[in-house]
Amino acid sequence: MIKAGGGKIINVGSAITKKGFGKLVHYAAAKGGMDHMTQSLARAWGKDNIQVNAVLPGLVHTEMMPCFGPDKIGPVVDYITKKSPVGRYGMPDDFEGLSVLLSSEASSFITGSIIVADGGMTLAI
Amino acid sequence: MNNSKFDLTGKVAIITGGNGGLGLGIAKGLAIAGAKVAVVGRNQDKIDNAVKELKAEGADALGVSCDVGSEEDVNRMVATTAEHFGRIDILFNNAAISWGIPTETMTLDEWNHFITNNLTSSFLTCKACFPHMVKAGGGKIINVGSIVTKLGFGKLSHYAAAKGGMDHMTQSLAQGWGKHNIHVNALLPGLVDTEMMPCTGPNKNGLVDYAVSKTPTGTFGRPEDFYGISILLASPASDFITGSIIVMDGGVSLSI
Repeated sequence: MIKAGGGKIINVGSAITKKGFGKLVHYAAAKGGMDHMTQSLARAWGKDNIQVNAVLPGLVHTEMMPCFGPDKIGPVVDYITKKSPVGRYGMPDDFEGLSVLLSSEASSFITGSIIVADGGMTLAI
Repeated sequence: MNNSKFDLTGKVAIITGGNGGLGLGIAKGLAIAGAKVAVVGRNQDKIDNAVKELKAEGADALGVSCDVGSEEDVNRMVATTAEHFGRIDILFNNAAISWGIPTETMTLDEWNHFITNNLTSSFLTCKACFPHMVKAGGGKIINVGSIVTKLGFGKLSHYAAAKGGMDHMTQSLAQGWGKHNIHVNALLPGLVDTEMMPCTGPNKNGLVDYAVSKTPTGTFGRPEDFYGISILLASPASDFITGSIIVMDGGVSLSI
């Protein structure tokens, strides 16, 4: 990135760092570490024109967390979807816009930011 | 990648304080993505100039004079915009006033003036736009707060309280209006070169050099830096983002 004259780092954390989940202490600690690594890296590498931000997704349909189909994690998905302000879980393509923004010149004044993209889930559960 | 997610063609946006500074930058960004924009302010000369600038860049722009602290005026402004453009899809609550006053000498009138202009104004605009957004099948509200809510400034308790209220209004509105397909987010700018906070020229604010020296990006912001995030938050590209409070300050709030 230094050779390229600058760079963009996006750490994909988790909206879990805005809440407490009793059985996910290990996962939450790792993701919380990532949030704070983001802030300190942003500060350290700003002079090298490297912007560092974090995106914290909420419930997104992936192999890790199937939201429909035969492997659907039923009760959790239904509960969160019901409580979520947008009334649905996310799909990978919901992250296209934010990814483009944070990877492009359009975000040259954004660094050290931790951006929740969870359909409002963490405010509502 | 489907670029249509950023497309605002046919959408109508209201930008309070859109007649200058950051608000005009936001209006230009939205217009680039195809939105029709209503720029709202109190100073008619500034409104006329802003509309002229926007039209020169090919935008469909309307200027509306309004005191956002007055319910009657806000309702008239929203009705005028809806009548002119036929719908309302996007609202940027960007109008604000700011100057320092030590709390111990602040009068209640001064406090109320700040809360009215910087917080109650957003309640009024949100409420007035709500039925239009429901009619349009959804909407996007972006509350322009401030990184003062991430820091402490001894002479800005009135401004910070209003902006902090705005952050939390954002979260509760997101929760309340999600079922209407209305997404509500807050954008917290840091130091941006505007009339309110000149970063260059003869009126350059004394804080600028210090803040820039501490900022990871090594720059102050310019209104055009906000094109990208404004388009994102106003467009279908942010349909899974609501209730989020997004700091956009070049990292300065982490460093001072």
